[in-house]
Amino acid sequence: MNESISRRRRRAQLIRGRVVAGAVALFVAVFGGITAQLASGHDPALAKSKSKSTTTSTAKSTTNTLAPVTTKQS
Amino acid sequence: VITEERVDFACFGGDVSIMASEGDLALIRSRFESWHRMLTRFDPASELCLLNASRARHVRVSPTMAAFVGAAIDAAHRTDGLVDPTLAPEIERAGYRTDLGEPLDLVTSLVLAPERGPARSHPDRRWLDLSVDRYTVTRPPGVELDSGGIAKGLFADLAAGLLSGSGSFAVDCAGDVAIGGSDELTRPVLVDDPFGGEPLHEFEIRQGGVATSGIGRRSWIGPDGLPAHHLLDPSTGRPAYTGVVQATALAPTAAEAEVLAKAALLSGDEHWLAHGGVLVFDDGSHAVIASR
Repeated sequence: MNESISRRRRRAQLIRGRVVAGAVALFVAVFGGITAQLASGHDPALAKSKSKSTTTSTAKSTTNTLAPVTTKQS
Repeated sequence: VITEERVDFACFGGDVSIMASEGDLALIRSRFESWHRMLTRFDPASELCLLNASRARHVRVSPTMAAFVGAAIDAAHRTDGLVDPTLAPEIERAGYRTDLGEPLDLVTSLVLAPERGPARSHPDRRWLDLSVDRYTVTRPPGVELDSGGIAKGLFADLAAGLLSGSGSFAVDCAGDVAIGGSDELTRPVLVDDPFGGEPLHEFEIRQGGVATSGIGRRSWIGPDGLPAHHLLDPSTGRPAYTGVVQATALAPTAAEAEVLAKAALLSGDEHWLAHGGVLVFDDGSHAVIASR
């Protein structure tokens, strides 16, 4: 009887230990990932949201002369 | 090697393009959008509409509105009322009450247009009663302002001021262009053909303003069934047909260029293009005017 209780206790301790170890591993993995992302300069909170626009465009160009401008009626 | 960032967006009923080697273009774009909301005639809540609707003689305004009114007064004085900012009721009577769709075909509207003649100042010279003292605008209640092209030139210059630390920049505010930069590089400026052909001329500009005014882009059929456009003869309150369909002016600033281009178109007279420019006539021919 006592042996049976002792065995159950050992089993419960083993399971509890695995749960704690798993939780710690998950915690380290998640926060490690976030830390690595922040350290690389990609803070998701600072990311610009993408929006659809039919009237706006941005571009960067590298040339040897300045890009021309066309003056026209508007 | 020159690297410039560029942003294009719709504003002031036209297209705005900003190119610069340095500077926060997103911030400047947001300024343009804010200026547009302030000065549109088509939103009763805009500062311009509230000013026009006010029955008070003295109205406190924002610094930007004060700058616009100052530029508008200056334009009227420089041209003796030919460029008249007080024609808001006339432009609405002519049919320009909302954002316009596709313009009329220029050749067709020229065929149907009334007899040509130079525009003249309004006999009442309402602009003489208009003044601005710091942030207070004074005018007789009922005198209403139209932002017209003057605002476009002014805002091109204000944006240029925000880019003054950039090595190179160009701000094209719906046809009114401010160019500059600390690197003092020259930039090609092409003059558009209003009849759809190849560019008519190319200027090389290091620092200053260029503006093009014309009757082909904002045009519609008026209440009388005749072709109409947004450049009015102040003396009649009706669209001006002077024999010139487009005027391009060079000047030290975009705001000044806007005034000179409009005066040249309304008068049909090249003497306004003292810093140089291009006139395009009804028959499609054009003349390049050298600076004096």
